[in-house]
Amino acid sequence: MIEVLPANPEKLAERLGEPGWLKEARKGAAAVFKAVPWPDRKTEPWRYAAGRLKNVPFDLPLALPKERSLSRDALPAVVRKRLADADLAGFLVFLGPDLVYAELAPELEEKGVVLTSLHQALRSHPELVEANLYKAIPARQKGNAEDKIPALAAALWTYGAFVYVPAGVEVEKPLAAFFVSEAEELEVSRTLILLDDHARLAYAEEHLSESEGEAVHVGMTELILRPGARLVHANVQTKNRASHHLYRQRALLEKDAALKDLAVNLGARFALSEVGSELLGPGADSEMLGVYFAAGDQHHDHYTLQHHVAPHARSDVYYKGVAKDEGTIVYQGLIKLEPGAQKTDAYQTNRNLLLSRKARVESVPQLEIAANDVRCSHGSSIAPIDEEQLFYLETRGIPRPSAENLLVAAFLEDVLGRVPLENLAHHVARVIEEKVRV
Amino acid sequence: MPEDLKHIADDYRWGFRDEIEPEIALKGLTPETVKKISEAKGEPAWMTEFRLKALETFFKLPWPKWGPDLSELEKKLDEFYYYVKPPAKGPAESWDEVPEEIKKTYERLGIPEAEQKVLAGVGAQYDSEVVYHKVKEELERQGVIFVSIEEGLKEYEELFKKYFAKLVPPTDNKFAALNSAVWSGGSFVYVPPGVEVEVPLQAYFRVNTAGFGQFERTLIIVDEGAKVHYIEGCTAPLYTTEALHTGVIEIYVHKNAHSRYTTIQNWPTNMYNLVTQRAVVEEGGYHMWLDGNLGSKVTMKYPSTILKGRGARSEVLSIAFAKTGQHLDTGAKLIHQAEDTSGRIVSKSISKGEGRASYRGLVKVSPRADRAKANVECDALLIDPESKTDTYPYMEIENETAQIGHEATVSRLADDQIFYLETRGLSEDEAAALIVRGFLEPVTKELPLEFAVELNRLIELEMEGSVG
Repeated sequence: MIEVLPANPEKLAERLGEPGWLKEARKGAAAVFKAVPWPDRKTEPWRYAAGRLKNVPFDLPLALPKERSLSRDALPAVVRKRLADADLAGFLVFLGPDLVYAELAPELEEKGVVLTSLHQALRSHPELVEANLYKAIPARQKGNAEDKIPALAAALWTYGAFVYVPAGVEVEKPLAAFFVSEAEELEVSRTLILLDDHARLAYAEEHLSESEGEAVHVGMTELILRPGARLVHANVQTKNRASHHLYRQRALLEKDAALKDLAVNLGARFALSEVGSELLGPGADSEMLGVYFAAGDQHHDHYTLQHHVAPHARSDVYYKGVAKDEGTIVYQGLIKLEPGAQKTDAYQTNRNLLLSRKARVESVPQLEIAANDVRCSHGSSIAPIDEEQLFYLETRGIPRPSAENLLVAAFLEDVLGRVPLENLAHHVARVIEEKVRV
Repeated sequence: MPEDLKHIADDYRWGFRDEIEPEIALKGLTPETVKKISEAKGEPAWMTEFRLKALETFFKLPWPKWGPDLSELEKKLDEFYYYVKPPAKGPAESWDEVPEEIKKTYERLGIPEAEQKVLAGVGAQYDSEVVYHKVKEELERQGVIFVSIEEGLKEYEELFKKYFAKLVPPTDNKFAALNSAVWSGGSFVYVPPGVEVEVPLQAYFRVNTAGFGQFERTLIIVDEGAKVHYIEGCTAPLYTTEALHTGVIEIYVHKNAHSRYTTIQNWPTNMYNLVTQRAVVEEGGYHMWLDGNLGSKVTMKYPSTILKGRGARSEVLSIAFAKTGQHLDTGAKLIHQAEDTSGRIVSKSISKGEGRASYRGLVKVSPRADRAKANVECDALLIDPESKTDTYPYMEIENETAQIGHEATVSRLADDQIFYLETRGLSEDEAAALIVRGFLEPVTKELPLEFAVELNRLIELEMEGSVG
């Protein structure tokens, strides 16, 4: 674990040609990084991840943009394969820290939709970026161990996506960003997605790797939903088994805004995903779905936050995990209702399926409720695959591995079925099938 | 909290007043205090050593960074009396000096006068003494040991030493360390193999106890195939000005033995109640914790069962009622260490006014515990808009064959339910009390009858004027 940042944030800001406010923000984040300790077993959302965190090589050199670009045909094979099944209105491809390819349907461009790199947006839409960056995940946090990694990310990010949908614009087909990790680098990214009043968008970010090398990725995604905006957002991680993937996402939902979010972790050796929604206006609605599958010695750790500040809002978390071999799956989540968050409906469900003796699962669904006229509940369950169901399928002539596969697919079906990104859901289902079999 | 109870907690000054000098009163937490406690009790050297080491451990261990705010307690730690040996006669208070409000509360709870006097600390326990002697004769005939913890150490040192602090060592947590250093009072119970104790053993039957211990230490050993139910505390408010209670309860449930530990606390609302309760259950054994928390300013209590032997079972039923000024952080732990072990936790909490009730629990299944089963159910009822509730259930599962479930709900006292009951002729208060009683019923039905009756009356009192 590193004690000093691997790069000087001020020099970084200069090198990347950033405005003064951003340089200051990076400086502030660096101060937080310096001041707070690394998370350990006592840091609540890191309770089970702290051990794995120790093995993350944060001392790899920081990935700096090299101004590369590629033609569509020369894109990494993993991306081309994904593009073949996807029906997208536009997408970005990042190879390491470089935005190597971008395309967006011209009619969307005409309507003022923006899909580009965050650094490009700093030049083309400086006010929008300044007003919204670090809003959902502040550069200067309150200053405890939980903030160590967000501080590192705020100080050192060198690339990421920027998406903007103007007021009233509805983007029909999904947009996407593919982040292809390279080996032996510390990759720090930041994504800002901004939906103006009553805008609509479906967007998927996919994290992949091209090689088998060890890489560290720290990614922060900020989602800003202005009143009445509706966003479908997916974050799908299918990286190689040598990767370390640390991801945090916060959404700010104003009045009547709606988010449907899907977090998927299938790859990486160690993946930590923290996904939160702040329900700031009445009528806001946040549905957070999660699917994860740890095999081999993988560790998939999830944290969700449903923070109800406003009354009359709704949130629902539905996370399902599978573990086999010596895989570890962790779910921790918190429903937090502030005083005054009356008439809230908030639910949280975590279901876990264990496929082998050495697999391990931790589940900690939490409630902190400070309002009384509310409907809140949570549930969690952990169970092995049902032997009777397996036996039944075997009696119908289905060999055991296929039967297992069917039952896992059935177990995850109701989450994936709730995602209105059909192609993506199919892709995820296929990767899972592969994992059950191998 | 109804006015009459609040006054008692705030105003009533009980305990040792200047004109009644206790024989020994030790203030401040120092090795000298600890040595003197041990000396006053005439303990063997190993126990003095144990206490002194525990005190060191207490100072070394950090204050918990989670849960309720203990910063005030930390500041006034040296102001407490850690040992008070009453004069031989006992505090010569008279029943007439007990404030009218308390008497009224007792009357409304329907507690017999003799028992009222015991609770208020002024009664020689005339009636219960008679009962006790009968119980005692019967117990002795069966070979059951039921004595004060001090007597246990003195009379049964070998047995005592074999079990004492093995389940909850001083290093377990800061307050277990504190208790280990200054413990005083509590029970020592041994039930021989195959013996079934018919009547519940109640702490207040034991006349030789020096009141209700602030640092009580209880050790219960239920030998193979034996059966016992131990009851501690009571639903009626207890009066003391001391603001710190840290108990340690250790229970050993041997093969095929059956045990129950029922405790209801209703400490005044200036009390920090920090208790470690743990049971270990061997093959085929069963243990139930029934835990009710009504009083105190802060409670931190998580009765735990270690399911050590194959087929061991445990249930934890818990009730918390938090009113303004109270933070009750309670829960349960089930540690599955063997095959076919099973457990169930049912937690019901009510928050009223600005009260805060938190459930904090752990279900842990170790790799050996094939086919472990556990089910956790936590329900919270919120009475007022300012009421708070939290749920922090930890599940750590390292065995594929485990079947674990957790469900929690949060609901409010529903207007339509109250309205419905009003249309059937109930007053608003009666309706609210009825709903609350119904909510608690899955736990209260397991209580001994007299406890259940008292608890229900208490809830009626608490719910008066709480709606509308």
